[in-house]
Amino acid sequence: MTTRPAAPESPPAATPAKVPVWRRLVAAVAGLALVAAAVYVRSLTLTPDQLDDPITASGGMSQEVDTDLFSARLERVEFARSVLVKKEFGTDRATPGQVFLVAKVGATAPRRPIQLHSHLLTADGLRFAASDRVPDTATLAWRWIQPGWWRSGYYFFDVPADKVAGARVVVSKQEHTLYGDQFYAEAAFDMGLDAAGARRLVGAAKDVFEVSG
Amino acid sequence: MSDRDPGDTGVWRHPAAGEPSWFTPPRRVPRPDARVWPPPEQEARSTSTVPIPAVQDGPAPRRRTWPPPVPEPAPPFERAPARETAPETAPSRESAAPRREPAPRREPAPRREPASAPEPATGQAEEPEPAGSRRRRRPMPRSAKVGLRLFGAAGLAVALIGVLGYDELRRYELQHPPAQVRHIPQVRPATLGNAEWRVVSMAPAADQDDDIAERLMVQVDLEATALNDEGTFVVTTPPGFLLTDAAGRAWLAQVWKAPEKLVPGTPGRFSLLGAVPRELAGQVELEVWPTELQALDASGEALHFDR
Repeated sequence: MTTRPAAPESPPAATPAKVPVWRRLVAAVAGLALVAAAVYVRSLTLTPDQLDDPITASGGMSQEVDTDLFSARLERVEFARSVLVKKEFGTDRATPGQVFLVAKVGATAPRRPIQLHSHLLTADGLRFAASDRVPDTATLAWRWIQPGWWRSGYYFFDVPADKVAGARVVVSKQEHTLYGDQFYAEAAFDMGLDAAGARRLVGAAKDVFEVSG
Repeated sequence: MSDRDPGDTGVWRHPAAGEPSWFTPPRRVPRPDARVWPPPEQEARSTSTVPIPAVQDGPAPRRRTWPPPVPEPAPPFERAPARETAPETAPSRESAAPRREPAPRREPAPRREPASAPEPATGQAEEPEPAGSRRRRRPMPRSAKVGLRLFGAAGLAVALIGVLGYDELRRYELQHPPAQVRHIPQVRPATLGNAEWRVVSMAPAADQDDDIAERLMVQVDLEATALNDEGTFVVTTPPGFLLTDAAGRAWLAQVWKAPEKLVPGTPGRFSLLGAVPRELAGQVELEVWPTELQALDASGEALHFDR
C-alpha cells in the first residue's frame, strides 16, 4: 500500500471552473440579448380584440375582392338627403339624421348561397352599421348572393358628413351571436375619399334617391 | 273588558290608560329573590362537561426519533488499484468501476486546467473517488447534451401544438358536424328525419323572372310523407333545399307552395323554386338538408337525389 501523490486532490467538478473574462462578457451580452428578444416577442402578441378580428381582404373602388365565401366589388358611392323606397304597394320615404351614404355593391359566391351585411369603418375607428331607416328589403342584405352571376344592391349608411373622408365599406357574412362560425372573412373597400372629395360628394348629394324593395 | 255601557256610541276612542289593549305591554312578573351579597362562592373548576383535555404540567413525553444517518465507511484510496490482490467481497458498485479502463478517457478532459491542477500520473491509474460520494458517471458528451435539450424543446412544442390543435378540431367537429350525404336515385323515395321525400318532377318553371339573363328558374315538385307526428312539422319549418351541380356549387331552392297540413301516412305536395344558371337547368340535382342553416353550412345528414 503506497500513497499516491495525486490522491488528496479534490475532484474536478468541485473546483470552480475558471472561465476567461471575455467569455463571461460574451455570455452576459448573449443572455441580455435573449431576454430583450423575449420581451420584444411578447409585444408582438395580439390582444384578444385583435385575435377575434376577422380576416380582411382589402380593395379599392370597383376592384374585385375575393374571400372564401364570396367575391364583391364596390361599384359606386353617392350621397342622398332622402331615400324613396318603392314597394309593391305604395312608397316609403326615409330621411337620415345626417346624410345617407349610398354604397352600391356587387357580389357573387363561389360555391354556396350567402347573404351579405355591411358596415362602415371611419378613419378614426368608428363603426357605423347600415341604417335602419331604410328597410332591409331595399338593400343587398336581403338578397341571396348565388354562384354563377353577379348581384348588385345598395347599402345605406346614416353618417355625419365630416366622418366620410377615409372611411371604408366593409362587406361580410353576418355571424350569428350564439352559434356557428364567428370568424367569417370580410371584404373592405376603401372609397378613396379625402376631405375635399368627401365635401364635394356630400355637396352633390341627391335630394331623393329612389330604390325598389 | 268591561260591559257595554249605554254611553258607548261605537265610535273608536283611545282606550283608557288602565284598560288593556293590543299595545299595552304584558305585566311584568317580579323575579324571585336571589342573594346578591355576599356573592355566592365560586363553583369548582371542573364542572364543565366540555371534554377539554387536561393540560398536565411538566415537559411533553419524549418520542422516539430516527437516529441520524450514519455515513458509510469510506473505502481507502488504495483499494482500487490493488484489485488483483483484493478479494471480491467488495460491494458491487465499487467493483464495477475499476473494471473499465478510464485512464486514457480522462486525459482530454477539457474543463481542467493543467496549470491549476498538475497531474503527473495521468496514465497510471484512474483518479480516486471522494470519500462518501456516489459513483461518478462518465460525463455526457457536449453534443449529446445540446441535442437532447433541443429534442426536448422541439418535442414539447410539437406536443403542445398537437394537443391544442386536436382540442380545437374536436370542438369544431362537435359544433359543425361533418356532412353525411346519402345519394339516392331520383325515382326512389328516401327518409330524412321523420319524413319521407319523393321527387315528383323537376323542370323549368312556367313563368320566368328574367331580370338576370344567365339564370333560369327551376321548379321542383316533391311529395313529403310524415312517418309520425313529429314529421308533420316539415310544413311549418321546411328543411333546406339546394340544387347542386357536379362541380359542387349549390343554389337555393325556396319553398313556393306547401300543404296546409300534413297527416302522418298521407303524402303532401311541396313546390320549390330555385334559380340556376341557364346551361345547368337540365343537370342540377336536389339536396335536402334538415334545416336551411345546415344546408348553407353543409353540416349534418342530407339526401342527394341523383338524376
